[in-house]
Amino acid sequence: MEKLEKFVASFGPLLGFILTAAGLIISVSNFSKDQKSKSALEFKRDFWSKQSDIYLKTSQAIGNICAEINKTDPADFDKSNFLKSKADFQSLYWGEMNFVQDSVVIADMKSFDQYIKDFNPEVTNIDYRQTLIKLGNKIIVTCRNSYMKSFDNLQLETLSDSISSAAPMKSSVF
Amino acid sequence: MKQLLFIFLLCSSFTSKAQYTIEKLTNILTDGKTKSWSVKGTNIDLAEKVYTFNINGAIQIQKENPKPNTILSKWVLSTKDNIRWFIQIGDQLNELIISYDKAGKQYIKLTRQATDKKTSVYYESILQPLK
Repeated sequence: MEKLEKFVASFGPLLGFILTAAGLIISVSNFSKDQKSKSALEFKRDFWSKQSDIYLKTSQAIGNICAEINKTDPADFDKSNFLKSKADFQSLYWGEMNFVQDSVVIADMKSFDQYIKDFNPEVTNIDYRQTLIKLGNKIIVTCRNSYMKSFDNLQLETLSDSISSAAPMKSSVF
Repeated sequence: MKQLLFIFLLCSSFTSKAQYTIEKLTNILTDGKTKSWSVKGTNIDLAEKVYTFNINGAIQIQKENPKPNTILSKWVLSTKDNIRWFIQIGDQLNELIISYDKAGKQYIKLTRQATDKKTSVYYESILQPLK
C-alpha cells in the first residue's frame, strides 16, 4: 500500500502531464484534419460553381444556335446572332470546357462543332437541320446530367463531412 | 408551365422522325448502288484518293502513295444514339458528318482521333462526289 502511494506520488504528475499532452496532440490533429477536409470541400464547391457556369454558358450558346437552325425559312435566319453564338460555342469548346474535362460532353461538342463549322442556312434539308438540333439538345441534357451528378457527389461529401465532424463531439461527451 | 412546354418540345424533338437513318446514309454514300467519292485530308496527308462505296458493303479504295494501287475492303455504318454516325472502313473508324458547301452541294466529312490519343486533335477528311 505504501509502495503504491509512493509510486503515485512520484509518477502521478508525470502521468497527468503525459495524458494532457496526448489529449492536446489528438485535439490538434483532429482540428488539422477538419480544416483540411473543409478546404477540400471549399475547393470542390468552387470547382462545381465554375463547372455549372461553363455548362450554362454552353447551353445558352447551343440554344441560340439551335433556335436559328430551327428557322425553316432562310429569310428569317439571323446571321449575326448565329455567328456570335457559334463564336461563343467554339470559344467554350476549345477553352473552358477542357477545364471541366467531361469526355462525353466534349466528344458530342466536337461533333456539333464540325456540323456548325460550315452550316449552310440556305439548305432546308430537314435531316441535316434536325440532326444538328438533336445533337445540341443531347449536349444540353448531358451537361445537365453531369451538373446534377457533381451536385449529388458534393451533397454526399458535405453529409459525410458533417457526420465525421460530429463524431469527435460524441466521443468527447462520453 | 414554361418548363413543361420546354420538356415537351425537347422530347418531341428527340422522337421526331426527321433524322439520318442507316438507309438514308447508305443511299447518300452509294446512290442506291455504287458511288465514287474523291478523298482529301484537310489536316492530314492521306494515301487514299478515291472511295467507291457499294451497297453490298464492299468498298474500293484507290491509293496513290507510295505507288498507285487499288484495294478492296468493307464498310459498315454504326451509331449509339441515332444522332452521331460512324463508318468503319477496313480497320479505321471515322465519324461521318453530312455537310453542304456554300453552293449547297452535299459532301461528307470524316473525322477520327489523331493516332496520339493523348491529344484532342482530330484528323479530318472531305469526301466530294465524283461524277
